[in-house]
Amino acid sequence: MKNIRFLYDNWFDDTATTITASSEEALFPKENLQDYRHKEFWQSTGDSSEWIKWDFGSAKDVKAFVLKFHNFSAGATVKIQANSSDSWASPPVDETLSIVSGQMQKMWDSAQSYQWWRLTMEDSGNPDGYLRVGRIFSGSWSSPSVNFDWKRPWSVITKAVSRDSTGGQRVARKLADNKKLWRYRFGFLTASDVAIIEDVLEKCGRHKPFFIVEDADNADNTLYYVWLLNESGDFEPSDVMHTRFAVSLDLEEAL
Amino acid sequence: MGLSLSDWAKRADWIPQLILRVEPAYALHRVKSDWTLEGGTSYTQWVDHSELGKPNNVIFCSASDGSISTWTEVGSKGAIETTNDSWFYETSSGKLYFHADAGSWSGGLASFSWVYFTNVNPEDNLLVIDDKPVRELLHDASLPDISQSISDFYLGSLQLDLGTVSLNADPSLDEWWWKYTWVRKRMDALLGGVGGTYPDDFTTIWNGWTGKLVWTEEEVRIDVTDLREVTPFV
Repeated sequence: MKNIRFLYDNWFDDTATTITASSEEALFPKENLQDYRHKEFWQSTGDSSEWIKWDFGSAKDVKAFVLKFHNFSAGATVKIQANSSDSWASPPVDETLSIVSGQMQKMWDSAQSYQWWRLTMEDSGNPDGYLRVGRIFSGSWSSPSVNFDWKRPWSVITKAVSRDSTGGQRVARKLADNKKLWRYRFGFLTASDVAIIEDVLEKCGRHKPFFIVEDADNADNTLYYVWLLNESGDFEPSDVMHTRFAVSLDLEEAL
Repeated sequence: MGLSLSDWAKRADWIPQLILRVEPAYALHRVKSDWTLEGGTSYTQWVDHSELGKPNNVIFCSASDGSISTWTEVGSKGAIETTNDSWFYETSSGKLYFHADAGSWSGGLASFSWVYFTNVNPEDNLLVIDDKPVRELLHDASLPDISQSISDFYLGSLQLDLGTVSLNADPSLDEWWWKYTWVRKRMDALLGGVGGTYPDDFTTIWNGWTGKLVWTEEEVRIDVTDLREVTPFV
């Protein structure tokens, strides 16, 4: 198991980043890819040879690519590519992604420092006849040197209303899909680890969702898009060594 | 889904989905400086209409006698040039084309387009209506209670008091509230369930008209008025 990774510093959202696409429907433009709400999506006009390309303006260190919300069919071929120029004949980064429902990812252990990035999508068997992508992360990840001690198993919020009759018969109604909550308890963080979490607090706070990968050895199944619920870091000295720190992070699934 | 609303509501995992449908106007005569003459034509103008998508109607109001006429939708932008009082919406570009002589123009011209809001729109059952986004901006308590009353003086029918609806204030839509006209416009509420098909699986629970609009940091409140109380306004 690898230590938890925080994916919060997204070069894709940077104002210097220029995004282009092979096509787009006017009501679902490529700018929606920078909207933190993944259900505000980009939609192509076709499905057989589509691409989204972004130019950071200068080379940036990228260690993670995440695509949140899509309508790719099982037969789709989706690649993430990168190069130092806008040239795609044989780019040095050319990875085919596994098609996973809901979200897809590619992570590197070392930074891929390139200015130009491209996502290519071929899905001519798609029953919709068009492609949709909700959110793109293209940036680095940070990970504490000491992993969390424990996490609370998923806690689930169910939104529902109910009311009983005098006789006790309940009328109930579900109002929304269930939402997950996590709590991660870190008990032995170094000062550098604290700086990572403080950076998450600084850049995302409670106003911007970000991605976490709980275990990169099982990234497809432990990649989550979350809101931070903590109002502050509230770091405490560790119980066993006062040069180490403890903190709990409460996270809520971004739906 | 093949079930009536009442049958479907009997299932305990039914998630009610409310659709609020509003029809703002875009006063095209007020943005005449943005009209662009299509190359190689004399009367084919276009404006960017990509935020609202395809209009329901384009309506002209004569400056000389105040008469109102509904223009005709044609099948291609090429047909605009030779068809008086016509319009065409191009989906891929988001352009609204219409027949007009900008040099001698007088009168009012407005497009009316449905925009859709909902309270819940899960990604595995994402609802898109007529190729338009259905924005998840309705809070649980944002639709008003409905009350009925009959005046002491018979006014023809029941009067509905529909209160105020509120939308979560989405900063990316801030511009909409002054750019388009929201007062005295059609506004309907429809109820169905997540996974349903629009419009077949949704039932209209009220038809109203928009009243005053109040825009704050947290929400956009729109008064709802009875259909019989107002006169349309552009």
